[in-house]
Amino acid sequence: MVKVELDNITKYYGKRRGVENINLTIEEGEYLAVLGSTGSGKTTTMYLVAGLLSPSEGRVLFDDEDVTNKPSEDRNVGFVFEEYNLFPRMNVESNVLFGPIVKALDLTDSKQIAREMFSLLNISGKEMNLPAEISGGQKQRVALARAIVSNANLLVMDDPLRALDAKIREILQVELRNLVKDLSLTCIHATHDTQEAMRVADKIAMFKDGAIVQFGTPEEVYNNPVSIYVANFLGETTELAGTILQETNQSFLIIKDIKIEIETDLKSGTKAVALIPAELADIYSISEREKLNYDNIIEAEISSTKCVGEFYDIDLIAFNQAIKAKELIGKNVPLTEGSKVLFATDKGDFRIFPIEEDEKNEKEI
Amino acid sequence: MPEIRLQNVTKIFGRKVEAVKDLSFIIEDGEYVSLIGPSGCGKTTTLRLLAGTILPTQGHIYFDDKSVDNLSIRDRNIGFVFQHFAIFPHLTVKENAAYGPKVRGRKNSEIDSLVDHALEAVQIADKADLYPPSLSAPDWQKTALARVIASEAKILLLDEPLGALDQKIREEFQIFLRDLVKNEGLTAIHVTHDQAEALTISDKVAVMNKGRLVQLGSASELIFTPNNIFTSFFVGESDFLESVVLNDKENFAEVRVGQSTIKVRNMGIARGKRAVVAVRREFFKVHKYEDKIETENFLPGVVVKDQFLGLLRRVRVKLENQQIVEVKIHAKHPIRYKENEKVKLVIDPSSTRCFEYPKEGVSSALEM
Repeated sequence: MVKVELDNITKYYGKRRGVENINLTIEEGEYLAVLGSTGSGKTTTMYLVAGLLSPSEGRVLFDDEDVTNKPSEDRNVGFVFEEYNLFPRMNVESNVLFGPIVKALDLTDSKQIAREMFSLLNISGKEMNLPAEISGGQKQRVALARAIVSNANLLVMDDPLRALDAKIREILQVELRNLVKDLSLTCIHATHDTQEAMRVADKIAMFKDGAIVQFGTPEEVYNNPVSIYVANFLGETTELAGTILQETNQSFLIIKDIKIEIETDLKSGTKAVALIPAELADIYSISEREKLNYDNIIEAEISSTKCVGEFYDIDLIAFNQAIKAKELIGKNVPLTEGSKVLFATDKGDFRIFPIEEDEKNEKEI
Repeated sequence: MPEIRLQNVTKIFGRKVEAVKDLSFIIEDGEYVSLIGPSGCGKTTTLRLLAGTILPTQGHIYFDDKSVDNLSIRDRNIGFVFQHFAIFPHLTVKENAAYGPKVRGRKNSEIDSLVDHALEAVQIADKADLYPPSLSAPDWQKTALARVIASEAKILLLDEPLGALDQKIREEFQIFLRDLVKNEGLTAIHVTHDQAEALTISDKVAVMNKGRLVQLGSASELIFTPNNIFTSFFVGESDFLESVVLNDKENFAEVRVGQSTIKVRNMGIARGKRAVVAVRREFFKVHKYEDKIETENFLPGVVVKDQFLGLLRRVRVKLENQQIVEVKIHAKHPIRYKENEKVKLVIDPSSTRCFEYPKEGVSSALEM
């Protein structure tokens, strides 16, 4: 286990910015997900931690020791990349034992560890196969075994599951987290997939344009996105624009003659956008009104529905505009197009952003 | 509009790599069918067999009851759209669309009307004179589609056509693509690794694994009434309870799971036989153990983890037989479950599927 700190790190590629002023601490044994779109600086950050790049400015610290100028091979880091980067002419076992051999570790010990890794990762029996003879999911497990087997105490993974089928990705997300926790590794995992980040990580660092825009536990980040950009990145939302009204102990968003109860400290009269995540827009049949306990319940009309596996994706008309909703398929919801339903939300479901300051905010963040 | 029929089609590469095995299915006139399955399941090979770029080792393919075994790619009257846009960068959108009818030796006046129609159909007429490098990714794909339509192909083969597009654009393009296929009366076969895309866009979805067709059905059939254990596993997320059938009644069967007896859907498995009960993770209901609930149809367990994921929460529960299953619940579910808390996992018999225990064992049956 190791504690990793990035102290005011900046990296330029010539004139192009990779990352700027990154300050980030990953505690011992913590699993950090670095989340962001393509070009947000995720890969640069991974490379800086691993020592594959050196920063233009700033320091990298491992357990308070400055390792900025320490080469990658002396940092005791295991990497896993999107492409598995296995040696095509070596069998699975030789691929995994490559590190221990190069580092002249005790081979009997390493073989024993490798065997344990194979069984932990469910690839026992494939030791003698060449990479071309095993599936993508198995290749990535081999790459993982290779990263860990030479006593790495920090695991750096750059979108490790990207090339895999959704089904295998979902299985490996659970395996990965369990493995990292079982072996008490510190881990940094870059991904563009919000659900993946939330599934694997203790903390999330949200990147945009080479900077960290938000940092926190998955729940903190999800519940309090700092900007419209972050809220939209975390999932599907609908934007409602209106004006804030403060009354005793209650806050509202007013859209023409509609009044929605929300939570906000903004002053009355402020123009604001309220985002409602699709999964928090709840739908019930009209007859259920008595039973419901929500802050806002209004009638809405279903305009279209589709079932995409675990969720129904529902488009409805409420507050005179189109709203997106998601319901887990286990819930009994009325789904006929054109039918009237109840659309229910709580005041805390809305993410409120003032309109004027919005542009400024985006720049500052 | 042609009907497509595959009859016992097998394709072996080299001496021993069986890419598809004994594949038989029918795609009806004007149907939109997607092929899904883990990588290496044979979906792309199937598409190439239909296109005629490779020939079956055994079996036959028919378009409208006519064997196409000896027809070249050119004579099969099919259009192909790939993930990476195979369009000519040095020709304008319009010239790209005109390529098909031109090489087929159509008269100029005919070419013009075919091309005009195609450009209208894919909504790219306003960019007819632009060159591909100045276009966006979706417009490249529209150009490729315009070329297919102008060439009067009646079968459209799509290999990850939306793979290079961003998620938001992808979703819009799915609707556009389906409407286009339906308006033009094409029969479409679409290979994708994205389940949600397949379920949204198609009339039917074919699930493949290890070169074989596992199930062909509508989205709701695959989700709510899968007819085998692999479909239950691959489409969405399910857990599998190993059990023994104790009793079969008209509406339900009673099965023993570990120390508990529960009711599940009766799917005709005889008493005394081993069975696998598949339950979608959205269909379990979780309650505190001390809660009074109306049903006795539950399995006891202890919570391993209650994980908040924004979109939903996942509660992992260890059953008495040590199996860990997962329940998906609403992110705002009023109760947060603590580690090691005792819970009841309620099962609605009508939402379960009960399959014969696979000879090779559950994990081998689910191997991809």
